[in-house]
Amino acid sequence: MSVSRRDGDLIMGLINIILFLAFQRSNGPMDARHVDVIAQMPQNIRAALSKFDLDSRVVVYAVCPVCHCTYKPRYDEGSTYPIYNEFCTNRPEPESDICSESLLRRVDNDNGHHVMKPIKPFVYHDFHDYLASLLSRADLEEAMDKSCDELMRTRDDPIPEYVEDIWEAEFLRTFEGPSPGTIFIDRQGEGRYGFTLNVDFFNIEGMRTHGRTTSCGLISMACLNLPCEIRYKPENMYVAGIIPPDQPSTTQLNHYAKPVIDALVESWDNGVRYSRTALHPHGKTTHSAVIAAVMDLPAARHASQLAGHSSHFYCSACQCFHRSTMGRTDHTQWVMRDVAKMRRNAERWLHASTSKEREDIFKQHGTRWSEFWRLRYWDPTRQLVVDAMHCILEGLAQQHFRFVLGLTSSSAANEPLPQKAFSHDFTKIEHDGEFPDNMTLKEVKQVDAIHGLLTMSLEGVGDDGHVVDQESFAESLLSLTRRLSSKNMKALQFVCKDLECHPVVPLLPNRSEARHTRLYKKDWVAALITWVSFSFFRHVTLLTCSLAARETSSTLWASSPEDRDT
Amino acid sequence: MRRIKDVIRDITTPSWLESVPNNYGDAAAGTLKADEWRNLSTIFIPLALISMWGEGTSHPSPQDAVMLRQILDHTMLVVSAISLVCMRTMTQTRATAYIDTMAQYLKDLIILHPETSYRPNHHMSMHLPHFLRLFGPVRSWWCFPFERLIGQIQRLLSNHKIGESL
Repeated sequence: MSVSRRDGDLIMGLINIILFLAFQRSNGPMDARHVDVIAQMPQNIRAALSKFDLDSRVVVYAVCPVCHCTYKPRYDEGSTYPIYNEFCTNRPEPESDICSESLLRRVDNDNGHHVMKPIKPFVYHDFHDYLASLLSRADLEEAMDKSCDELMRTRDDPIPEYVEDIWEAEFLRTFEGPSPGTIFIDRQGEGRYGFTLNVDFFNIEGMRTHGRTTSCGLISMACLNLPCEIRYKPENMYVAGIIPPDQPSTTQLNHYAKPVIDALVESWDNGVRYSRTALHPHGKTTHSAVIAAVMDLPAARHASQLAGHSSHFYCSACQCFHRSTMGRTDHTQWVMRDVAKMRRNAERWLHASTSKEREDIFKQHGTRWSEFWRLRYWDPTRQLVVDAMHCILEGLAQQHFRFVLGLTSSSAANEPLPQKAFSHDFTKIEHDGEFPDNMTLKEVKQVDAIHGLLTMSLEGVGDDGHVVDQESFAESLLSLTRRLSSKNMKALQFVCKDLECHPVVPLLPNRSEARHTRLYKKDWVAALITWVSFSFFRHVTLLTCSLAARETSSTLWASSPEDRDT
Repeated sequence: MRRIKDVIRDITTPSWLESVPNNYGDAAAGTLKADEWRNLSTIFIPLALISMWGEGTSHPSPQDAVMLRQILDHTMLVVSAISLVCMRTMTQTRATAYIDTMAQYLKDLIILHPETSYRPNHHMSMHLPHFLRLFGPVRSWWCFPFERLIGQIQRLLSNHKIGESL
């Protein structure tokens, strides 16, 4: 399928050798005809491909490395050598100086000369050229016009109950065309093509954990006129360009959208005439339009230059304002945003003379200037769709199952929350503010966890407070000891002091006293266990309190479970 | 959790249904793709949860049973909403059913899970019927094809230089 240039050159070289050997005659020179064939054979794959003229027309824009402004190259008459501006002439802010960053760098080529190349290039694939490639195929052109004609024919019928494709739904039936009073799909011998447009940012190095991150953008479109089955085949989709890394911020994205919007504006306002198409040898005029902009939430807000989805202007479609209203369910009351007003504000933003003014407009209305406004038909409340895939599947479903229900292994692996046997009025530490005893936030959280552990119920105790199953009772005390021992010393000490249960230093007969003046973690844990055994039994039943507590506390000082059982 | 993995492993699915990672939930499974979420949330998880929390299951206490049942019913609202929105054909009835389900879901979310907060996605999901009416079923205007295109571009070999023909 895909062969690299080097391998392609090898294949071409081999073909040349084979031909040369085949034409060679044992006696005398080659036939003049054969010499001619060999002379015409391209020597490398690039030359071979250029003979077929398959390459699409691309324009390499120079991008300002600082402000992202894009510059189209000029060409001298009769030359294919692009000439670029040397310096950036953009004013990023209305009152700021011209950016004047240099755009070009010197590249020495093989024959001792040098050429000036853009430091940061942006390759734009010509939209008209892409449409021409679709129209050069008879089957595609037929299908593309048929979808318009089909809808025109059934336009006066009511919308079918089962809507199967965008062509049966409401928008295209009512979408007004370039000349007022006519609808877009009423093509009258011209070509009328609708597209979905997508801008998305992705990691060009692939999605790997801890992999390199280089965020690139992709501006792509798909032609809705094509039947559903072939609409999204990669060969039928249009890639306008890949936005080079360092994601442009806010309005800088406009510079990259400009070339494709230029083409779309031209196509809408004047129409683009192709001198020959597959079915129209004498040429055909076409008008193309973006029917819907399909993007995930961040990209949608970025491309339309509306306030971000986590701001108070979180909705691009309705007038719901302020984050606190995000849970509203009274959808019948919602009012759509006024498109004319949005457009006015965007234009005011563009023509504002200071950045302060721009900021005020943005704060008040949540709109900045977007290249999309140059499309006269642009209506973000209807055409900037909410993407179901991101919103419902990756958004809602993921949030519900992972976070609301907590269905992940890590949360399942956590030991189940201890069932509370009794409650105690512990001294709690506020998580915000000063922590006592130089504790870290982690230790403060551990204090809370210790509180939970201390009040959990113990196994093997009957309703009357007697230890009915000695083994499981010992087991649960042991597990409690283990879980307490995993906490930090400071947290344990804090809880001990709070409960006024200072560890007792046990004096073992065969060890010297000095060794036991220092308290180890195990001693603090033991103190807590003693507290638990007293408190637990006091709460379960007062009757057996002293007996059972004495029994357990006497075994607690033993270091191993075997000792404890005896 | 184990139940979900069991369901994923044991279920017999038609071959056109893309499988989901059977180590779902582990860190090793990574982030799921949107399509995997669709299958998980409309097929695997409901099966697992219904068999654990649904009718005829036993729980340590009646309060637990009632609470889990409520959570299950609430989860089934989001499952229904997902199935409705992903249908290949769209009708006005379905769009209405979707928005009613969604509204109910949002109302109950804060009651059953008070620790959660509303997100922009919750609001935007309420706008989907508006676009369903304008543009028909979601498959003509969702991001799947574009994401696939990105996937193909990511897989292309690159020399990490921008905009240079080789």
